[in-house]
Amino acid sequence: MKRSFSSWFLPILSTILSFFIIYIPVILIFVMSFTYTNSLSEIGADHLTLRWYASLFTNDYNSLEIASRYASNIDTLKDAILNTLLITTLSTAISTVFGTIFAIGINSFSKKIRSFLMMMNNIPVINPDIVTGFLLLLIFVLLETFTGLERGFITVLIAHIFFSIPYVVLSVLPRLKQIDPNTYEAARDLGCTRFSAVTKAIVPAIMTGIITGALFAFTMSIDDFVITMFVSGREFFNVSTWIDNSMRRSYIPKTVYAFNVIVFSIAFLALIISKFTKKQSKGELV
Amino acid sequence: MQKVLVDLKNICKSFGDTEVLHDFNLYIMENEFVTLLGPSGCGKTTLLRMIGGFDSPTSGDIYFDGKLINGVEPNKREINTVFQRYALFPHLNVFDNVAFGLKLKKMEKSQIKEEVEAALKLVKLEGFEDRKIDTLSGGQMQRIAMARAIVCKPKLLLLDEPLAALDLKLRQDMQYELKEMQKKLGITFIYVTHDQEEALTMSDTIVVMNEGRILQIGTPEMIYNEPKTRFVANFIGESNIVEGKMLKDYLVKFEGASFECVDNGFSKNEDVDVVIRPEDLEIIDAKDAKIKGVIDSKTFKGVHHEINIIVNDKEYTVHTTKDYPLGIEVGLTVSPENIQIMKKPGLNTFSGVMDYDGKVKISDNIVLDSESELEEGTAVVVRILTGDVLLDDIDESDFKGTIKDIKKRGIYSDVYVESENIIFVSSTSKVHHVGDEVGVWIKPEKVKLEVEEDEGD
Repeated sequence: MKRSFSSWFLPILSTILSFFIIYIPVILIFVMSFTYTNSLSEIGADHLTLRWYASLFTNDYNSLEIASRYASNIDTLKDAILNTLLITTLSTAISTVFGTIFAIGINSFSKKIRSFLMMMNNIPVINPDIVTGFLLLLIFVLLETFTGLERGFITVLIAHIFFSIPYVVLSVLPRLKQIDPNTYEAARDLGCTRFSAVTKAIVPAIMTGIITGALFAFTMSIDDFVITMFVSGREFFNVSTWIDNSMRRSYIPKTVYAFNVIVFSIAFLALIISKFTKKQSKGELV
Repeated sequence: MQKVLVDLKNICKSFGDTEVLHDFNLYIMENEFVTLLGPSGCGKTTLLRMIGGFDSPTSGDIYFDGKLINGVEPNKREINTVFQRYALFPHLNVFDNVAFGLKLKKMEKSQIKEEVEAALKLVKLEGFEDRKIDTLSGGQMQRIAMARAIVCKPKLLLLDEPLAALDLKLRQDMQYELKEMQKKLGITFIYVTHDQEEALTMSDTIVVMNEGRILQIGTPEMIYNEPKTRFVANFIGESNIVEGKMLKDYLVKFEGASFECVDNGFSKNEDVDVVIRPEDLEIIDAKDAKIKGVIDSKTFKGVHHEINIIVNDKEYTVHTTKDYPLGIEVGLTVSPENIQIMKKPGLNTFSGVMDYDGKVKISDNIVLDSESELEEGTAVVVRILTGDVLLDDIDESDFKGTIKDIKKRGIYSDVYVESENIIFVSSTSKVHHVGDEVGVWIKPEKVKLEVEEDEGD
């Protein structure tokens, strides 16, 4: 039977269309990160340049022919980038450690208590960011009146750790259920102390789950806007709140495009590497 | 002389409201291969975990090598465990798994290598050092788990159903190898299983457990040939258990026929349970037999035929190598040494003679009141539940006796009181001591009488 025109055309068309809808912004930003001008209509006539990338790593904006109205903005952007990297690194590390400990703890309870704790763990995950952010803001305002802790780096870090931990728990717990229930006892039996039984037997056995959890925590933290917006105060910015702030009152330097392309490339590369290594080992990297 | 290695004293264990071990007492000698045998949920694994240090008893003491070890951490005990699903470390290779315990002991690298190689040789897995755990078969993982435990040179090895996950052929091979290994190493083994065949094949001593209590302790032969309770008889292999009556010492009556047996020490006409193994029943010609029945069904089992014979509406199972056609009438016989007599639990049975006013005389000086209106001089069978035999001060009692033996049954004890060569069993929760003189008192309404049938033969 001959296949009709619509039976192959429509699926292909919709695939191509959805692919473009997803990737056009990425491609656009990629192209524009190499051009001088901000205007889309001038792209064809423009020269290609790497100066936006260079601006990420230098302070001498004159040599890059960057207008002074951009220069001060680029400096605050660099602060925001550093803030983002610092917050993300710290919150990933801390929430991975705590999330793993919580998961091990939750796993050791009876089924009834475990399902209750998992429900408690899942509430922040399904809770809309806007609610979480507002609640955290209330808490930090309260904290400020009692302890004088101003909103800024510390409150953002606490908030990021807070919303990352449930994701770590969610990815570590399934691994814990897979390993032999006597693993901890076997290690104790062979001479481990309570602590070393966890570090020498349990943690290596659930390592893939921990890495997955850390990746979750990392991605949740690096692109967070809503919650950071609520808890960061007036002086502290990460990249996303900085872009939001700049868009409202001034020009955005195309350094942001360069930064976005770099972040996207790293994520893309990480995905390809994990796909490649997944074929070789049974590990479940995202 | 052999030394006691493990001594469990009055161990009780409860999880919430459920009591899994009731006043458990057991001692295990050095170099013994002891099997804890029982159905799942009987408390055997809990007991093993307490010896290993992974659980602690609610009350009671655990002694190991003469020292109280109740609060000692598992890593400080000279005990190693082979877990049910092996619990090997998946992130380490075979060598590192086996060397795990030795590395924690801070042993020299060269010595670790030597020890690991020796252990792998013992479990017949030489050359497997660099293999990953997930490339091993079930039987190989089991051997690695053994090697990992014995390389630490424990005084006691605990094995929690280590063969449960293996297929039949492999399991049989491993049973033999485990026993060999135990002999070679001279380590005490405590082996937990619900598989009676494993227990019978490997053990020096079998402890049969049910519902947190010990039912019987003995060698495999003793447990199999002389089960003390209905549960043990049924759990260890198949059994025909029928009701019978001890006519006198060495003579038991069941299915209307009397048989010679090798048991004594029962009172005249005492109701008993008779246990006969299916392989001990012989099928003979019906006209020569005391018991006759009809073949109802049969199954071919490979080595033998399993034949079910209906005798007086009761089914008997016989294992025989010969085949018989269905529906024919056959006779059954059994030799005296293959008849096992079990005391009925919870019941005292005596024979007696009616006296005046409903009094019943069961020996020269022991006369009990009853509510019976039987004629004077009638021979009767007297049945009294053990719970209705009350022990009291001597003044208040019907007669007095001496306590010969006390058997703990958990929350209560069976107290054996002897008076004029008659043994009364009393179930009581009060504390008594062997050798004490006590008064025995039985309420008249609790004395059940039955006219004794005239035993023709």
